[in-house]
Amino acid sequence: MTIVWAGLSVGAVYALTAIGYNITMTFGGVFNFAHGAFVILSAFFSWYVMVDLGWPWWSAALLGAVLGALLGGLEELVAVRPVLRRTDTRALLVTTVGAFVVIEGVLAATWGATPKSVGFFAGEDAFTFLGGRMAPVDVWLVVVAVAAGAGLHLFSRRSLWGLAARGATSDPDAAKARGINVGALRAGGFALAGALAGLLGPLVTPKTGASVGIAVSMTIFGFVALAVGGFGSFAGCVVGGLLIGLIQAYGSRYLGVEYPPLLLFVVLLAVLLLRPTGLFGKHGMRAV
Amino acid sequence: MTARLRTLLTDTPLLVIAGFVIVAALPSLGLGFYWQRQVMLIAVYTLLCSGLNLSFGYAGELALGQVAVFASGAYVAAILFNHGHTDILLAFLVATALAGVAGLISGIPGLRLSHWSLALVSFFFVLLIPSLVSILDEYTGGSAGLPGVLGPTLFGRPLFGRDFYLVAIAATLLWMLVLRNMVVSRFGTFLRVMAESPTLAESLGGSVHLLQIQAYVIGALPAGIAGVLFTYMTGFISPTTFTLSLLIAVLAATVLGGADSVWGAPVGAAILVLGPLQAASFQKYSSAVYGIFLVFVGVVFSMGLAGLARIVRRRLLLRRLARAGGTEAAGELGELSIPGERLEVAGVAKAFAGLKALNGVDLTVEPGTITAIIGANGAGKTTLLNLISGVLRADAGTVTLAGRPITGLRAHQVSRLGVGRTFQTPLIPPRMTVLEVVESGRLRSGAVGLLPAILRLPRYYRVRREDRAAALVALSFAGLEQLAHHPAGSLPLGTRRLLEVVRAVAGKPHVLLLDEPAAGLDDEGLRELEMLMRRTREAGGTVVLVEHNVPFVMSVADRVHAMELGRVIASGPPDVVRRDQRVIDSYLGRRGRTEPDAAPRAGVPSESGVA
Amino acid sequence: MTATTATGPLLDVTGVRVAYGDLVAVWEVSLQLRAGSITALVGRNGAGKTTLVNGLCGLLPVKAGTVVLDGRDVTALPAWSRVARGLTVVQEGKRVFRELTVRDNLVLGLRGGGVKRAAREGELAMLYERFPILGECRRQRAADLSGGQQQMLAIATALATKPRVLLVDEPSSGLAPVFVDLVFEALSALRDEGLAILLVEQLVDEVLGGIADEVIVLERGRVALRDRAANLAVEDVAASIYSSL
Repeated sequence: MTIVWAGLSVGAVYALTAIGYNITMTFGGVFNFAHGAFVILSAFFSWYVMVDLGWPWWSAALLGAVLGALLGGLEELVAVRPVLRRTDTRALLVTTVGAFVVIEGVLAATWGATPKSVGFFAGEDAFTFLGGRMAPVDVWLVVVAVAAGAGLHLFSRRSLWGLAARGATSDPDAAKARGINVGALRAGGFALAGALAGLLGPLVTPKTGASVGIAVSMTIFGFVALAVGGFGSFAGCVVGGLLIGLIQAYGSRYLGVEYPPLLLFVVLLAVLLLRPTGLFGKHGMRAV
Repeated sequence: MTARLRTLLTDTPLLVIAGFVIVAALPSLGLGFYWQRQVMLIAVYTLLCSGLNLSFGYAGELALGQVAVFASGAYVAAILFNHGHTDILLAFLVATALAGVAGLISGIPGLRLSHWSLALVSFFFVLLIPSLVSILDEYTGGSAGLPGVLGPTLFGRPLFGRDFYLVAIAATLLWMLVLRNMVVSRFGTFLRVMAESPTLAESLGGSVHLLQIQAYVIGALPAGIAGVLFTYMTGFISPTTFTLSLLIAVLAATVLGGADSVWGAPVGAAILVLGPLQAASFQKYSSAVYGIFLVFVGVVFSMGLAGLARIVRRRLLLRRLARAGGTEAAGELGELSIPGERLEVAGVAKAFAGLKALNGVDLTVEPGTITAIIGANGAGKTTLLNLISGVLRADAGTVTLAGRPITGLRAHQVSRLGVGRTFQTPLIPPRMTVLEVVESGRLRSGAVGLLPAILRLPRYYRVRREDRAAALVALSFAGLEQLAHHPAGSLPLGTRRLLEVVRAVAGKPHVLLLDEPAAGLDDEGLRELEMLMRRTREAGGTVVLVEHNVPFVMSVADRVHAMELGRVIASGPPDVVRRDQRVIDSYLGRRGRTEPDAAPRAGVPSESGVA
Repeated sequence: MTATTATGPLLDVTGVRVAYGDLVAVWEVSLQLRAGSITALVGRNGAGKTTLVNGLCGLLPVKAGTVVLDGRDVTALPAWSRVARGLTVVQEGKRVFRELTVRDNLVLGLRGGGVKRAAREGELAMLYERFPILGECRRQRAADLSGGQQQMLAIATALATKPRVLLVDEPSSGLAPVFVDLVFEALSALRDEGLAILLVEQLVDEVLGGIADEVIVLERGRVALRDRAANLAVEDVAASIYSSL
């Protein structure tokens, strides 16, 4: 059972990253390659505020949210909006990869020289639950991931903002003609995704630690979670994340720690080839 | 014979070869060991960048697996060496084969998915390297790496120091020439067309799926070679070499050199190895600087250093041609005979979301005639063209070309059978010259001929001569010869529209489909278009014209079909159709009243798109 | 610069040039729309009617000239911001959000018009009352409506943005006659309530048969003919459109 809990809590981290990807896709129709880097940045920022400055965890969460929102908005403004003005938007991939590299590079040159760790604000003592050992942070992560997925699902379905976003991504011109500021909506999506990453820093970092090295795996496993769950579905992000967390935990336990990437690569290829819509996605993000 | 020699001479990049020879001779001129290594490192990066050039710069897909393929080549060389297979040619062979497989794996999902899914699948490779290295640690030495891999052999002769240096430079030059020959060929033209518009590539007879796979596979090959060279250069490999930072650096170097240029790769690689970012004070921030650079390049979409060089060269070339008094082949223009065939459309129907855009259309187009299709917006004209050319699939009915059914074939197959077409919004790759654009119309005849192109066999030169000749004749049909060496993107819209027709004519199509070629043309443009169409008909061509400009249609067409609500309502010579009351009503918008049985056609896509 | 607009035109368009890419489709067109009037814009396919409408509502950039809405220059404003100021377009081809319900489509319109949440239900009720066929299917997805219902929804959504100037692009295109009548009735009613309406229409007979107050014939992106509808005979307009055939 310990494996299950470990898998679910790691999976929750991937689920939260996948949710971040999905926010910019749902509200702006853009895949943000750099979102994994935002998660890592938030981890270092939590370490800086909580360990280096010694401030309380909630201040790290709040400041992280503000910083994430600002940087997310900045990315939209600098790396996304100018590209979308052109007819050929293929360069979006280059610019968002560029944003990833900038964040990663700055971190590597500053805080990221050595890996950091942060203690969990709600206690470190592991306990036994349903026959498996788990730490408080594991419970928190799973609960928060499920809550974030459910909340954003409702938000995107019910709120006026979500409604406008669904209109804007399905027919941007018609949306403009209805008085919807499509660009602001997209920038808002980037800011929201950044804010979420920043807000969750004090929760995620005790589990993952802060190191530049995990930027790649965060980026990729978050994407696998999104692909498995289904592009466009927040519920899918959570299920996909937890699922690949379990695959990773079982793979490490029974095959060895070096196998999970290989397993997940096969899973990703299989999903993309056999069921491009994922488990819950309505329409796959197919090439035309 | 002298002419052929001259082509051979002008066609060979002598300057580059000379450059490589000088580089190869440097050690004899006293280049020290440290600098020999730096030069070899440049060669390795050149190979890595050149692969990205092909897949990203030419084919337009950002594949991020280059470093992983590099690693596979490096490990292949080391493992072979440790098992007693020291021959470097064997290592090259196995490494490129493995690279090809890796390219295939990362490329296949891309066929069904968006650009960024593909990028992430290939990015995944970065994560797989340490994983695979440690799973196979029996062979790879795990995280400790493999030391002492030095001194490969070539035909039994050990290569150390200067000898290995020579082999490294020679291998790089050889690959660059192969790549250059591929890029300057029908294959390269297809890739450039595809990067601009997959629809256009299909309409010129290229299968986009096949081209993409080829680009990935071929783009991966040099990374395998680079891996072999890197192993034998350093004598030691471990997974710590093949990291994200390396990937980022190679990506930045590729873009800096100019992603869609062959010779941008060595320039970018040299800057990467020797450039200011290697200075100690900068190195710390190099990654961040590369990132800013990627954002910047992506936003302004500069063409890199090679792009600047190309602009300068084109200026010089234009001046020289102007001095020589015209294009090279002027005065010896041949005839262009266009073998028109009969096109029959019978009972064709197409519905979108259950609503009928075409409702049983029959028409026959005779060879050597111009047939026009007119009708109001939403009458189904463009849908009909798209069905004939294979962009859309008919729900019912048949299309036959010269008695051969072409219903249900894909766009590139229809194109290869001899159907040429133009688009409502001209699809002209802006960075090609006018002549190159017209030559691309010839792509659909015959094979891509990758091997003859790489080896520059006589067949390649023959095909190229024929392409050039046909392109020049087609240009002269429209009186555009003097623009042959201008970049197509600099032409005004009207000329680009004519150019589209010229491109289709150059391919000697059995049937030529023109989708609103007169839209936006001024009177001068209309006259040129009319002349071009008449000449095409005189050369034997079968022309189908969809057009709103009724006076133009009436003056140029031999037969007119008027469509309304997915049906043909009148057919005949222009004078007869002109007086048909149903046609007049249709044009005055009386359709809702005169046809009470007309079904609502909600949701039918407007005719502005091609697909 | 506060122009008294009681008698002046609500929308004053002077010498606009609109291009689609680098194809200039509308050359120096001027027109005025007054409150409580319908101006019909007719012309052949490709004459530039839709391009002009898209330029006026801000979906295409205007390369020259000015668009002045109620004394205020909106030439440089994006489309969404023109909507907020009372200039709304009903685009060609029943452009509704197909995946959203009828109600959600209307709610988005109200949002664009700056209607507060508290007032939303009341506004919706009024819209359902005006368009009973929408009230019946308020919970259905727009994609499941008939073409005529979709067109009514498109007009109703535009109305929800509280426009003072309404641009309507080929509302009758592809509709069964019974729906064409419904659309024209709705537009007449709006005119009587004081809206300034620009109607792009192919049905010349309808346009001259009573709905339009003024008629503008566009040819090759330029105004070829402009007069009060009452002064024009169908043959004049037909000749102008069809002259070259």
